[in-house]
Amino acid sequence: MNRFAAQLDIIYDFFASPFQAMESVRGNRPVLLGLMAYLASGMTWIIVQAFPGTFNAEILSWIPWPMLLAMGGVVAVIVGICLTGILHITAELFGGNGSALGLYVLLGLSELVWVFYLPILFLANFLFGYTGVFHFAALLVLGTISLSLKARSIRDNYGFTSRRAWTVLFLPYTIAVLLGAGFLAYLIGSAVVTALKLI
Amino acid sequence: MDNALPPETPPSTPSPAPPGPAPDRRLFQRLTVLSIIALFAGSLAVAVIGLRQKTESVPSMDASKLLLSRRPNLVGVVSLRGPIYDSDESRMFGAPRIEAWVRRFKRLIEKENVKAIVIEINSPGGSVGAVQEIFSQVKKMRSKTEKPVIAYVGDVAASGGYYVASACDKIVVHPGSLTGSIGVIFSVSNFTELMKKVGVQMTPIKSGKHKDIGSPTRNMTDEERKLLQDVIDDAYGQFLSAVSEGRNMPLEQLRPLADGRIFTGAQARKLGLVDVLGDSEDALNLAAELAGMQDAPQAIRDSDPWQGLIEILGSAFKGHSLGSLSGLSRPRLEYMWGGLGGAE
Repeated sequence: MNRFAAQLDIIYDFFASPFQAMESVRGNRPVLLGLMAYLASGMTWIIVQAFPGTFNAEILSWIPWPMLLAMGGVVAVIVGICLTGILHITAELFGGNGSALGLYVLLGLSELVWVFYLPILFLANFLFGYTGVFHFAALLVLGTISLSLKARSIRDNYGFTSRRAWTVLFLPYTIAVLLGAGFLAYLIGSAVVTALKLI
Repeated sequence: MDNALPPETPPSTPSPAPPGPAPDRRLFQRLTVLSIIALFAGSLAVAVIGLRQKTESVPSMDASKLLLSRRPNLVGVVSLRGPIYDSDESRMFGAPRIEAWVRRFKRLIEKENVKAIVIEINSPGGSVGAVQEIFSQVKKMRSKTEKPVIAYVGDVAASGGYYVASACDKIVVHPGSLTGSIGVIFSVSNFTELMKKVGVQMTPIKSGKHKDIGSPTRNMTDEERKLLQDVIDDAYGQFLSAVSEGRNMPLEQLRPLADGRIFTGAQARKLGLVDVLGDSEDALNLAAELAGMQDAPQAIRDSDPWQGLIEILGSAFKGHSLGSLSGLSRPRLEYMWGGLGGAE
């Protein structure tokens, strides 16, 4: 079979027929496809920042945008590797047995839903002249779908129940959020203490 | 959440994959995926073309020209709030405050579909250098882009705040806004008595007799007082010239009003220090009118929503000494009204 067509089949199956996609990923290990998916989502995230109403990337504004775009793709690939590593270790701690490479590809494919982000915003801008509400709605809907696909990927890759797959997915996020909240609390606390000392 | 996922499959016990779909169906599926890829690639290409066109004038990522193409007539709104100092407090995460403000202002006024700018001022003033930097940039961009710039005063635009406002084409204030306070202040603390009490003595070794002028550890001499007064008079003259030029008001008419007193918006209007009594909407409408816009103006705000957080984090990281916060040990020349506790 044509190799390109096989990649298209994997993408379609990932969304419509996950069992078949899982078999293809196990058999072919389409790492390149996974990388492309991460690159696409990373570049989308950078481009989206240029829309009004998003984080104003003042800190990054000195970087020429083509480099920023490339950086977005590379960062997405690296974040994908890190996330795969963390989730793989977590899954193994929960007694799962699966391929880390397979998980990397599946998580990358889960990121593919973000390719709809730009078209949605363009459409919103074209139809309504602004993108504010649609930004939030698209972020919420696509984010939920992406998370759901990630949980499914973990479930299928390690043979977990759905509940356990969600736990494996959210545990690192929860820890990261708790650490972040702790750090923020430390910063606010130190600012308050400094202010109190001065009164 | 369990229900959100499709039925589970046992991956660790491989079973034969179900037979693939029929060739016609596969072709349709591939075309579907290809269409989505084409849609994504098209969107990416449109965005990239938009970015490339924009970067000819502004070398930073900004696709708003492309994205706002359906809104050709915009009035840009940019805020200038709080004391105006060129501080390093936000440098840890980004550019210093004034630099960041100027960059945002330039980015907004250079947008092709932004026809006029409203600067929302709510400031008691600040250090001479920082105020003059903003004043100069506003004037430069006004003449470069030939777009009207309106100052809209919320609570207060006093001293340096008014200095900046005078760089604009028109000034809109509320009747009860506070403005004026045209003047310069240079506060020097004197710790001599305190140092005597705690038994501390400073011995400056200096290259010239005025090298420690303004030192808080000794009394000021008459000669030093005269020197500092000359400096203040010079900075005051610069303030007067700027306002006189900006407001197109003769110096003789301005000087009696420029003894540091503050005015309400209504008083300032009568004296010719401001142009219009109104609110933010009036400021927008005036900007649109001066820009020759036919339709009702739409505002676009180029603010940095993260700046506040960045400043909080920056200050938490940096830490402060009592002296650095109170400014007692750091005399500086200021276009600042002290009525809000601004002058140190």
